[in-house]
Amino acid sequence: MDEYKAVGKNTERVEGQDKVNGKIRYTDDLPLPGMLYTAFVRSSHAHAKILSIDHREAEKIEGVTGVFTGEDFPYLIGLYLGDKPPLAREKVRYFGEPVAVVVAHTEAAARYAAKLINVTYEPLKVLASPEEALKPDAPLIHENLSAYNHIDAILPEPGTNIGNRTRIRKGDIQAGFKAADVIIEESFSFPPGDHVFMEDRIAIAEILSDGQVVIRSSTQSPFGVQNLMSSFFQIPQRKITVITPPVGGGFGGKAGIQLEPLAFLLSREMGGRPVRIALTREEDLVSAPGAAGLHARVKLGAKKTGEFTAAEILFLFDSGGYADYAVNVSRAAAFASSGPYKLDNLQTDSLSVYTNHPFATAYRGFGHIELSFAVERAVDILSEKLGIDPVTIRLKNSIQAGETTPTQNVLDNSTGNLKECIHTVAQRLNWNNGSLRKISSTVVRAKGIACFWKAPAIPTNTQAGAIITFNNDGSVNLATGAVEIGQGILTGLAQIAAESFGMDPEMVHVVRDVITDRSPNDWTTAASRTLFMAGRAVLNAAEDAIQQIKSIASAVLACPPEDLEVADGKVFLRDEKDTMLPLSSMVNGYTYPNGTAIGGPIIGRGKYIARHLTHVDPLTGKGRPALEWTLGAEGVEVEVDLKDGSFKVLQASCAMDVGNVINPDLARGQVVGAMAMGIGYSTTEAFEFDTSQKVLNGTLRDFKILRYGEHPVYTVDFIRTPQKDGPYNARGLGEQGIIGMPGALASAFSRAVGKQLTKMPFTPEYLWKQGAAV
Amino acid sequence: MKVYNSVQELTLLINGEERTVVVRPSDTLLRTLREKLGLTGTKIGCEHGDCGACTVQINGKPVKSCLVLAVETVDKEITTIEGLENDRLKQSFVHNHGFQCGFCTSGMLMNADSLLHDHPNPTDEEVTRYLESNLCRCTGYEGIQMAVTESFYKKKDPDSHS
Amino acid sequence: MIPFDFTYSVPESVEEAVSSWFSSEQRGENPVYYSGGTEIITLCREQKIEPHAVIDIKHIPECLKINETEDYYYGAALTLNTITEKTSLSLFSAVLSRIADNTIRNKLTLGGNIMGRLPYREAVLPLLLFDAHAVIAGKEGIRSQPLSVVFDKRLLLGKGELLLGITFPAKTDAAHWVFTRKEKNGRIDYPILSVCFIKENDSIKMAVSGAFAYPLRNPEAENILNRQTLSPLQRAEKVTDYFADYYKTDFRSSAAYRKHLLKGAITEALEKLED
Repeated sequence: MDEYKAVGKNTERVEGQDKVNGKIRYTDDLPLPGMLYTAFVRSSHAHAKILSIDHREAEKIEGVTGVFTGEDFPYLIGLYLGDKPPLAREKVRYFGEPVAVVVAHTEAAARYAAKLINVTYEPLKVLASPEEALKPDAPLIHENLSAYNHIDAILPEPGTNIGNRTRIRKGDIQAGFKAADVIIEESFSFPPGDHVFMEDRIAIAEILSDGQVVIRSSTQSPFGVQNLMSSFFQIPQRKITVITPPVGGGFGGKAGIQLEPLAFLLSREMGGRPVRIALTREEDLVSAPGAAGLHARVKLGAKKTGEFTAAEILFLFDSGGYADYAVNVSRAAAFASSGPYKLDNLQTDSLSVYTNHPFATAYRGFGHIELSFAVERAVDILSEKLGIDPVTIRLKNSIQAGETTPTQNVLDNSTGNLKECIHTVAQRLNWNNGSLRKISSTVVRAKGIACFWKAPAIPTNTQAGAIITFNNDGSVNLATGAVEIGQGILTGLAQIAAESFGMDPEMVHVVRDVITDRSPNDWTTAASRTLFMAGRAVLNAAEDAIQQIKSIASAVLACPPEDLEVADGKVFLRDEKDTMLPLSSMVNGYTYPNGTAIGGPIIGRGKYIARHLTHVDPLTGKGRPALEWTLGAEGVEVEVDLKDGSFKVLQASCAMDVGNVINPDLARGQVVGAMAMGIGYSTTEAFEFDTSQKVLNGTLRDFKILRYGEHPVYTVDFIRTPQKDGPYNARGLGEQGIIGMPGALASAFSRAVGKQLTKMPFTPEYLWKQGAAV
Repeated sequence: MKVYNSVQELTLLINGEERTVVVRPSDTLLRTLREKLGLTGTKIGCEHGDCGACTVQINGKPVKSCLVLAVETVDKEITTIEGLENDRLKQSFVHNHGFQCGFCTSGMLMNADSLLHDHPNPTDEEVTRYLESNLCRCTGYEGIQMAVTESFYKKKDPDSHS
Repeated sequence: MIPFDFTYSVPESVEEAVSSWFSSEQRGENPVYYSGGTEIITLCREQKIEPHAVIDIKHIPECLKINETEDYYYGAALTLNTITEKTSLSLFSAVLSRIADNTIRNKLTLGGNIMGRLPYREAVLPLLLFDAHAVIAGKEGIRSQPLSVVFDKRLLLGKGELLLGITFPAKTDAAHWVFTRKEKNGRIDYPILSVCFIKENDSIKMAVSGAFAYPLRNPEAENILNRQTLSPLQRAEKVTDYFADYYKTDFRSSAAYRKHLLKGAITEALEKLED
């Protein structure tokens, strides 16, 4: 890595000192003068008609300035599919859905008043799973689906509970299954869950006297919010400013649009005064969207020697009461539905199905963690049936450059080396020493392995921008539209900028807040594409600035600009380094000794837009939706006490082909954090419902995420097949570490209990029951 | 008998400063710090005692400030992240990446500081006993473990966890 | 964020506390005694309770006293961590140090764990085995009654009564004990089984929580436990069958799993204690 000055180094996180001193300011740390507070009334039913809402008592509470219900806001909004009123109207579609909101001078008054609101319901039949929702006699959760607005890429099926259906038709599966020596078919499922970022969702909206709508929001999508607000409410784009300070964790759950429309509507009702909507943890878990559940069926055929011949896959995503991102999550899952394996004959139907569960949005992995569980389980079951080692069968079928994806794109020579990833993980796990070992009469240690891949699921025209300006000492200000959600993007971009200028990253100041009226446009901070795209934009902006620097310097130094180079805070002649100008003397105008000045402030403009993406064919899925694929393998070792199913995850290993690493420590942190999340996702993080589909574990006390001491030993290895169009050959890695964990854990737990497991979460009781049944 | 009626002026000792503040007896210390005293480094994560993001020290012991009434803390010494003087620990968190989004960090540091005060050379069990009171969603706890381990100078292989 | 107001008072004597409770009650203020407050604050935030008078017992000497010389005594307002640091009784310490988490144990008190709404009340388990008495204050003064009489699923207090502390005759640390705690997944959670055993004078005693809807010590079950003609596993089966109707089913686990865990815990405890 010595060829680089800043890239590949463990630069200290640029906002790190503020984070350890309590000085970093998140959205809720900046209350506005005159701000009003809100509290919700939430549905106590999962599916019911709203018969009446009596809020007379609430209005009498001192400090209350307004009480609003769904009837006050006759809008239908949604990211892709406009199916959701800001507050439930006429009926509720999931337990915890906001039904009414109180606005007051104090949070105490708002909460106290909300408790006094009396809602009566007429319960409707609840749909507890996608299968139930697809039965011909199932009630419709959205009766007016045909009337909803939606984008072209999303295909709802009116008269059903299907929000979107994506089809993959590749090769000839009949012929493929005919050629198979062995065919397995199995169903897999898990319930919905939640992101559990530490900072609950919050938005504060106000409307200035000139009609400017100013929204402060903990969002991954400030520009998305601006665009959607403009189209929902016909507000001119220039009249909306979204301000996003650093965010306390997102994981997909703060992408798209969430609290902002209601905050705006309430501010409008309150004459433009600032209105704060801050969710409680209970609301954030249940009322706000979480992770989709999945019911899947996979039929997989293979030759005796292990080569896959065909797969037929059905994914039923449990999108809950509304579509939100789930319709696109199910679409992305279809596009990657083979897993990272060569499958020439593939048929996939991936449906986003409405149920009466809390609704689902983007969640780290975006459909890939879900599909991976189903596909990796199928691969393990097949490998058992064939009597071929799980590592061997994966090596045999690993996808490589020159082969095609489910959407029939040929993978180019930037494609990562999956086989090396598998070998690396197998080595880290000592796979060859055996994958199952008895420790005592009841305790066993078992290993499991899984592969993963992911490409960003993004619009074909996804873009990013960067602006570089200079201070008089020659240091750099870098502004992008990328939101710091903990992933370290500000640091990574600072390193890329520093590398471009040949300067120390300390000389780069990165603007922390994204403000839509001054930050360059950026699609959204999601899909593990920010370092790639914003990184490319930063490179482009630096190049633009360097050209301007050279142009001015060439006049002063009387030389052709192409003979000049920029590094170490100077512009100098390549072959005569002493002939130079310090950047400080010229980035904001150069002044000759006689007083005459030239130049002026140098402003580097940078941009990037996704290259060569296309829409996909609705009947076959053929097209190019994927910018770049990150491939990898993961493995775990678990220790299970079969007498009661209690377990410990001892080791979690990941090898991922990331092209190049901009900041090794930050990159490792992303992967390790994602693996930990994957352990929680697979073992504890699932909503529990009663028969009426009310959530039983809707508090952080009962909805468990991994705690200190429950974490395993982690190993992370980066393989570096260059991503030739990536910034310094890097590709995305923020989500990928979560994707293989359910498959790897399922593999290990199955081996431990002696039975192929098909359901998550893997609780001790479930393992005990399955183990006892053997 | 001391009685605090609906709205009350209190003097609290916070980060070595005497601060006079008007509170309702039902105001929690968490809300008082954030909303009345401008000490927003202490975070609201769940207000249910589950996440630890609001952890402060009262008389040197870690306490979840969402589960404390401000009126209970009269005559006690309160320390928040803004007053935490353990720079070695803070820098160890920066260098070992003991955080990503940073939202749990204030509470985690307050707790870890108490740990190292009570147990200058803690065992793994003691570290777990303290730190399992705080949730972090970003790091998978590897960086936190390394940060705490480094700050008591007990050298360990960064890949090892026992 | 507690969305309503209350009066907070800090009595310095038992009499002040009790008379304060009754005068608040008369004013219709729905008073509560408050020690650690971890549960009261949470319930108030969720508006599941709405007291308008909160009486903090943390400044009453009887609630803060700890004594392990003659008759053992633990004040109700002692935090769990204070007791674990000071007690010489290793079983008591082992049980208390698994309730909630370390940070919360700096606030949560013995009285709070016994008097709270949560059904687990694990602090009671060793106390039931120590044949402890509850020291209770009320309008009529102070009484001390055995838990076997005054604890039935919960502590049976009269109107306006207050738990001051727990007492039992001097005890040397029982070396022969077993404590088993199981959770759905992860240590920091309510138990699906919390069970204590001690062996005294060749007799084994057992108190169970988590598996049932409340803490329980049952003489009939202890009789079965001590039938040494049966193997530990046989006794465990008989005891767990005896409790057939007691096991709870909730989202944390099924009755069958709770029963299975209890059976395993009893078998292991008997093997260990009779070794």
